[in-house]
Amino acid sequence: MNNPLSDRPEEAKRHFATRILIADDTLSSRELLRSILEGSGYEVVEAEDGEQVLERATVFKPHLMILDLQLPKLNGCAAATALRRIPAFRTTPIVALTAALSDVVPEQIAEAGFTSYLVKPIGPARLRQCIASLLE
Amino acid sequence: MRDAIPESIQPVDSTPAETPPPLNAEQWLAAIVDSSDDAIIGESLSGIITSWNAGATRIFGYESSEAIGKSISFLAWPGEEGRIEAFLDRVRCGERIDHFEVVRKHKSGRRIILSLSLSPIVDAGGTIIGIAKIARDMTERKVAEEMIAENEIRLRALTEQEASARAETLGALRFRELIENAPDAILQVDATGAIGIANQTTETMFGYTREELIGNSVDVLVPEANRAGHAEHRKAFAAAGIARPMGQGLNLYARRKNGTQFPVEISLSPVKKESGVHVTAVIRDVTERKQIEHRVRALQESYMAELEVRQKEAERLNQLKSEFMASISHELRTPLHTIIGFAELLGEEDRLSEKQQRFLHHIQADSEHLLGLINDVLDLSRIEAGGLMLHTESLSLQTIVSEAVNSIRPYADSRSVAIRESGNLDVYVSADSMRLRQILYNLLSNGAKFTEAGGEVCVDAAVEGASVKITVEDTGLGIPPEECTRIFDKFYQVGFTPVGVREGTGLGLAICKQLVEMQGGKIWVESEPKKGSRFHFTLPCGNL
Repeated sequence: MNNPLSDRPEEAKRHFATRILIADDTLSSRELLRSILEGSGYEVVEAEDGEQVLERATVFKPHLMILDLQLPKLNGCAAATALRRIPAFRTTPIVALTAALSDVVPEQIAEAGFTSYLVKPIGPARLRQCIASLLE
Repeated sequence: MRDAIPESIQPVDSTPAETPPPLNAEQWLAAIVDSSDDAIIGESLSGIITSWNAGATRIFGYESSEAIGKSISFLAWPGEEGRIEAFLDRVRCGERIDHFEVVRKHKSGRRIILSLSLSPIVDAGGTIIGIAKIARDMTERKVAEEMIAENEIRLRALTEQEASARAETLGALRFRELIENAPDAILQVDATGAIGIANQTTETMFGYTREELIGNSVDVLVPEANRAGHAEHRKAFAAAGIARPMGQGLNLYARRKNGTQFPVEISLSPVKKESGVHVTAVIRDVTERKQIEHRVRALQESYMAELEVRQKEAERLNQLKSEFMASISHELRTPLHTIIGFAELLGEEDRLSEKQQRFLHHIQADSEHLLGLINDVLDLSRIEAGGLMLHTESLSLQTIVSEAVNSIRPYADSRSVAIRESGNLDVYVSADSMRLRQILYNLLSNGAKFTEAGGEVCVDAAVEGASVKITVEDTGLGIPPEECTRIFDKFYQVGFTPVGVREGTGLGLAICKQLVEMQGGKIWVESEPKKGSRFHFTLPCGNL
């Protein structure tokens, strides 16, 4: 893993076995998430839309997933609901990414199967803290 | 006492006719007296009759032999004897009485009316020795007069009767005219349903002549479809015997002779007669009114339809606007989010020069400001489009205030402004947690922004009736009175912004006002320049 920004190789090694799937239709957003997460030592796989989420999740078997709510083809909520129907992901933490607090209706997010949600912009500190607490 | 006039005066016709002997003066006088139509009676002062001429016999019915020697009062009408005595008294005193009208009694008992003249008889020496009485029979004249008077009265009565009869006729005529020309058809129908009376309007309204109507069944005026039940209705109405409109709430129709129908309103009133209950029906042709009503209704409907179309169009446009705003804000925020995220990630690098760090700080601060602006515009447009959903629940004010204070503390610390929570926050409010946090954050952010280093922003609360009043007080610059209401306007910013504070969007307080009012509260400010500001807002109390 060649992350020029990662200056925490010890930590990176420690988390190497932990796989995280990230889904966002924006390249830069995926790059940001990947940079932060890989910098923290997680193994990351990306998906660009809801269908890719389901395909790659079954292959990659992530320990945690971060799905943007506004995904093409299959939106975040639908993808989360579909994932929850797969026995392997019944208890996997799934985090919703949302563009604004005002887009969030916590009840709907919970009902769709999400474990938690994060409001953009995602800073490194907040993301790391959230992931760490969910993987404990 | 000797009477001056001879006791007896021979009647003229008692003298032999063939060779009338020449008369002396006395005889002449006697003849004149006797031939007078008037009664000429001589009386003693005591009222005893001393002479009685033929006229007296004719008037009173008594022969001179019957009268002479009797008191004059024997001629009195019963009850009037006293009046005779009174006359005598006056004459005894030398007074004359001329043409006095009196009532006397005829021998037959008949009432006679006399014009009486009395004069004293005076001897050569001037002594009153008797009374001369001349009485003219006025009875016939009187009766004639009375008859005339009576006739006049009768005539007058007759005239009056005639006048009143004429007035009555005229009144009846006018009344008839009124009924005939009434705008409504007026009919009277007997117990069998036969038309007894119909006014002229009935003829014009229904196209029948009166001859055709009178005696005919009223059912001819009822549309065929309703005829079957009409007799029953009539019977029921007669039994109830109360005046009322017919077919209340129904659209009634009547039928013309030519079979056409027209809408009517009918009022019925019962008239009790020996032959049973008759019914007076007043029928109004409401064709015109119905047409107008119909036109008004059609107009209303077309307006409503147009209104609905326009409303739907407005809703569609509003929806479009909301979608556009949501979409544009998403498009704007997505790159901004990554800019902010990468800037933060870059900030974690320890190999940056001081200059690079300064530049990075500018990127971070400005992108955060831009994000705030986008979020505020989006919020306000959502509120105004009515698209903002509230999730109202009972909340611990203390919890929400602490969250908001924690969010603002880094900024307040950077400006050396203290944030303090009062001890009165242990209350529950009914609100949307995220929106309450947003309101508090905006007010705290303003407080921290406009308070100089070393100042303080304090959050306090007080229960007032069914509301909780929450106050955010600062020790800052304060707001001039003329700006205290305008600061809640969109894009309004106080004239001065302290050096070194970040610019706001001018939307924060406008959003606060909308959010507070949406949650059933109100917001206002108390402030004096240089003495700080107190922003108050209310929310309904929550349940524990």
